[in-house]
Amino acid sequence: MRIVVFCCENSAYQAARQGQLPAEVDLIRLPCGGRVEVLHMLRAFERGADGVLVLTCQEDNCQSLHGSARARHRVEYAKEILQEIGIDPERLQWHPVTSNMGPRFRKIVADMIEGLKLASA
Amino acid sequence: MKASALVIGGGPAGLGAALELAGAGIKVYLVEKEAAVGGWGARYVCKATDKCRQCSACLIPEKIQEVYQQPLVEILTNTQVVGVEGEAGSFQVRLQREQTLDPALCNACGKCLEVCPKGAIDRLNPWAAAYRIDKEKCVAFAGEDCDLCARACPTGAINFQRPVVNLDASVELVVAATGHQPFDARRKYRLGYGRFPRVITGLELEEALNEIEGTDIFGDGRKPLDVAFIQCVGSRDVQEGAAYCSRVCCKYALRLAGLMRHREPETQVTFYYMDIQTGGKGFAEVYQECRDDFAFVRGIPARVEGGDRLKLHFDGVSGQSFATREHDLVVLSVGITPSPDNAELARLLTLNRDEHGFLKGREGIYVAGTAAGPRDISESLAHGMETAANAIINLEGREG
Amino acid sequence: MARWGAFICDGAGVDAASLAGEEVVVTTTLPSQPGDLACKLVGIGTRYNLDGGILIGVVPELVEDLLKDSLRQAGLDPFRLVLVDLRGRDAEGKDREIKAAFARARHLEPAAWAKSEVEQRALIIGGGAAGLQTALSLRQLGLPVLIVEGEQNLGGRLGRLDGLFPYDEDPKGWIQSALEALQDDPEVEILTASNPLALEGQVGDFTLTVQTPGGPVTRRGGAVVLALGSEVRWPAESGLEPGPRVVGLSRLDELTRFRLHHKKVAFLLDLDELGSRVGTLSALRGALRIKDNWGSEVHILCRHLKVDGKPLESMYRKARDMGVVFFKYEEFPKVTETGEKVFLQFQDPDLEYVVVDEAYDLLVVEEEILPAGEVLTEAWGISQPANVRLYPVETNRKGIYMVGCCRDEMDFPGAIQDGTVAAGEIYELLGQGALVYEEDMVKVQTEKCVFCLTCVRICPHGAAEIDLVQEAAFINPAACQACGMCAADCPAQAIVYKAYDNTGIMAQLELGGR
Repeated sequence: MRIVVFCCENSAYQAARQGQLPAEVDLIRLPCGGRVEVLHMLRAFERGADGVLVLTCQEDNCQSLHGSARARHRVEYAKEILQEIGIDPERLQWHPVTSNMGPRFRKIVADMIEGLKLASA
Repeated sequence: MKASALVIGGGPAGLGAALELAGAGIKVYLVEKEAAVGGWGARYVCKATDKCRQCSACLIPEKIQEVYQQPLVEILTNTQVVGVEGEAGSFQVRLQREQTLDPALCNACGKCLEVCPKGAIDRLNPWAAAYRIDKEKCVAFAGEDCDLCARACPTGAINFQRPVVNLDASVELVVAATGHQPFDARRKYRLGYGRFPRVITGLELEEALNEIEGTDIFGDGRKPLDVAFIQCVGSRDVQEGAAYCSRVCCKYALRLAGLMRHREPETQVTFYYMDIQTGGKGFAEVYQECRDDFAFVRGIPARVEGGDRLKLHFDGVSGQSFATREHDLVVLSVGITPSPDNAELARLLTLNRDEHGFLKGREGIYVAGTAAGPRDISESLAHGMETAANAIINLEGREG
Repeated sequence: MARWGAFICDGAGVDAASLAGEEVVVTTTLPSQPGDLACKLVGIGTRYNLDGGILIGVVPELVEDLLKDSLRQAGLDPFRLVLVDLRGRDAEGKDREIKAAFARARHLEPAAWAKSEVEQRALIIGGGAAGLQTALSLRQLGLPVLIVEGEQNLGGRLGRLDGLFPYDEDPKGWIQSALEALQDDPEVEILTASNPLALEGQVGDFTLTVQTPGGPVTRRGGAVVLALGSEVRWPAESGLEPGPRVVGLSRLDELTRFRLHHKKVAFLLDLDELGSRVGTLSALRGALRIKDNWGSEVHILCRHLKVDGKPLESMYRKARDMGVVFFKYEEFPKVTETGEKVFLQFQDPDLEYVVVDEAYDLLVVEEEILPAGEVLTEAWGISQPANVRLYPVETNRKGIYMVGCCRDEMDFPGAIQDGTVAAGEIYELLGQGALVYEEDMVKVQTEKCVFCLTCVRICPHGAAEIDLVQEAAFINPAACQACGMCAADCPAQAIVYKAYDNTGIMAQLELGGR
């Protein structure tokens, strides 16, 4: 199993480093949630990812003001595309994770792994 | 600017001051007595619900990263200031670094944790890259013969034979950002803290919520669903010598209550208060959002009794006549009190204290953050920056 | 073909032999002390003439800027240092992190650094307490300033206070000493009775057009400080009308300058449900003065007494000790006015909700205090939302700061703090006389740009500009804060963010298929 996690370096990337990372996870560091493109998420699935997470700051404390909101909108759009091409849109998720939320990061990743295992069983 | 500065304390005010000073080209010795920088704020939980509640706790790991990346800041952890001599523009400072556990060698593998009989080794905050030895709990520091952790350490990071190092430095200015002490809730015997396990402080709730997802903070499956917050514990209290408002408790308590309700929507929250303080940018909105979700009761209970449920008794003051109310968790919103180190610091740095015991600066020695009075995280950061800017201005004045 | 080096930190637990398959010219281990690490990195980088390096370690982010700084000073390209953080990784995870780093490294282009001279002057709009403090601090730091003030005199709201001031300084005296320090200084220009018309340019080189009594003038500066102050608004929603017996708090100062004959005075606070510290502060100091000078009976009615800050709690205690009576209300009081008296009827929760009926000779009402100049900031695309990352004085745009009451409800020490912090930030930004930035970090490929201006519209930092000559968008490198939003949203894929370009991100995704 492989999960690609796009992380804002101001927040989720720091949270990701606060404990053991599951072997399934590939972290991709971005300067801001606003940098992630629909293309990146779809390419991740194309290249064999079972799940994709986009983890950014809270919407109201994005360094670039609208970066997190844009990331969320793009994830919603990409979910629609996934739906159309027959991939469960739940395999793609956006969550806000601030820099001091290590436990939350691990919970989100664990939940996704759990969900994917159930889906494939 | 060719100058150097000593910043005492690595909490938000110290981090803010160190970054501001270094930004002006000043070499900074950032001294922290604990094993890691970050201060109290590093233990706090992110209180965002579905939106950011502006608690600023997330700024601390980011500021820590910034100071580590600032070449002009030299971070000295496990270090105490033992001597300061001279005057503004030319201080000689003596620092003492205790290095039983060398953080540079520690890779946080956890082998020492497993062997310690006293549970004296832990991480100061979740993202500290190294462990630390709690000197209060460690028996070796109490003089007993124990070096189990040192023998278990594969990298040689722990060594009880490593001597204390004395460091001397010449600095032009000193910023004391030595922080505060949360009010000791045991002093309020009648509120039951220390006697009933389900009476906790706001700080303990912060730490508990930081470690888990959900609200099962005691790990016994009994999620607190009926929570009481008692405000002004150790604030606005003349008997406790704290005739001031701690400025932070309404904010953190409302945010924590909001977070518990966000994690577990069935949680009922009751606030017992005198006056709710809603100052600070954006906080009025937070309060307005909370107001319909929580019950607000004017009046502080006179005593709390244990039992299966906690009983809060009111003594007839404040409209609550002699009522008794029940809750299954009581959170005491403890205030900010002057650090117990302030007397020693005042002696060491020749500073005065205000009527409450907070430190007051003097020429060349600046006081920033909660060492000078109650402040929240972002206010402490801003105060650190202001203090540093004033220090730079005075330095420019002396040079020009 | 680029020459890459692989650097493995002690404690990373990676065997140098495992990197044999990668295209590297040198592999070495590094000490874990940041200083030694930087020395060795620079030494090897220079000796082997490397184009870039992969640093494999535990928490290398903590020393990232330090290393990049050392590399830059040694003439090496800091942007081609790729960090691999192995914290919390098992053997398989380590392997994949390293492979991803190499995949990304292959697509990194060299960086070019640019340095541009800046205007060192700060353009301060607003001459109240916060604006004046910014000017004073900047002058002490040696930077020139321009102050633009709409009124005839400097001082803002502070200048209208007379003695009713709870702090050590006397407001008139404070303004006077500020003026003395500023007015004969050749590096200070003060334009009074003047209003800003237009702001153009970016950090380091702004142009401000000001309408002065003598006509419009333009001034250049490297930073802009908005100290626009606040506006007082009568709380019309309360149904109260101002009159001889009902006055606003802001008029208290002029009212109490002369003998007050009113025997019984009430202060009604928190009309907009929340109220403010500043309102409570004014009411307390007014109550103390009235009590002290004329011995009138004084009541203060509020929902929540604001005590969170010096000297509120001590003033409250003093007022209470002097006989000022405090009431709390939850339901807004019923107010009736008959000739000589104002009647208030309310229920106090602290008095078990009994109905209190009182008649007063004077009712002083807390007004709303609103930030001023919102029309201006909106027109100029400047904002300071309640976002902790902008706290205390930063805005969405680099080199533009907001201080004082125009950004938050604020008392005098708060305004002083804002002014001092803003001056410190500007000194850090402009003090060296030049801005250093990476050129073309985020670049518009003009041949691909279809001039749709999406980037200009969405850039949160106002860094995307219109280049009419090239008929293309242009990302101003000094103002750009490198979030990459424009690169992600450009419909023509014309914007390249070098450190995080698509090929690099895609290359990291190619490692799948397990």
